Amino acid sequence: VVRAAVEALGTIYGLPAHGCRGIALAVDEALANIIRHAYHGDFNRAIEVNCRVLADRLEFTLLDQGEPPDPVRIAPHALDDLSLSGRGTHIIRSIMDEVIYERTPGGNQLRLSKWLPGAEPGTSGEEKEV
Amino acid sequence: MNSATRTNRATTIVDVYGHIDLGSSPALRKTLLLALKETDRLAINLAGVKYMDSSGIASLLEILKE
Repeated sequence: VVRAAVEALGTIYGLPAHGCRGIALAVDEALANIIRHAYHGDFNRAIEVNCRVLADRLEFTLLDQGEPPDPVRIAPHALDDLSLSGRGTHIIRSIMDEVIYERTPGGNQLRLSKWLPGAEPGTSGEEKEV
Repeated sequence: MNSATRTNRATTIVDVYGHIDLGSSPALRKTLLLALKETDRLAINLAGVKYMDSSGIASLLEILKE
């Protein structure tokens, strides 16, 4: 459901087809990381997903109440061709233009941004909550 | 995700269809490990796969390492 919604949002706001598939994959990888690491494989815990459309970007915020991520795991790092872990984080950083993790009073918050075509980053302007 | 296993000459071929993600990759991994036990020549046909995330890639790499 989330994959379809994210991909559709990308289409509506003018991302090319591969960009739409990319952001759906990135958000999916982030959800999978939360389930796997923060919630230790429990598929039934809540993850809040918010999508905002700003003048220059699509912004996806994921909030969970699980274990905080290991900073080493989420930091950018080179990937061994045959390594079995860390690939999801690598994919997210490859696709999204901005990846920000914050520990907030509400839980772990991951903010993923993708610049919109033709927009100049930093000109956020008015926002629409989706 | 669905899969079907067949044999062509001395090669076991696993045809995989659909979406491979965190929910379905354990089943794919199990199918491929079982197939690998029965053969020393395994081909995985991903032509029917519409979507694969990093858990699917990790499953394929695990089979490659086996």
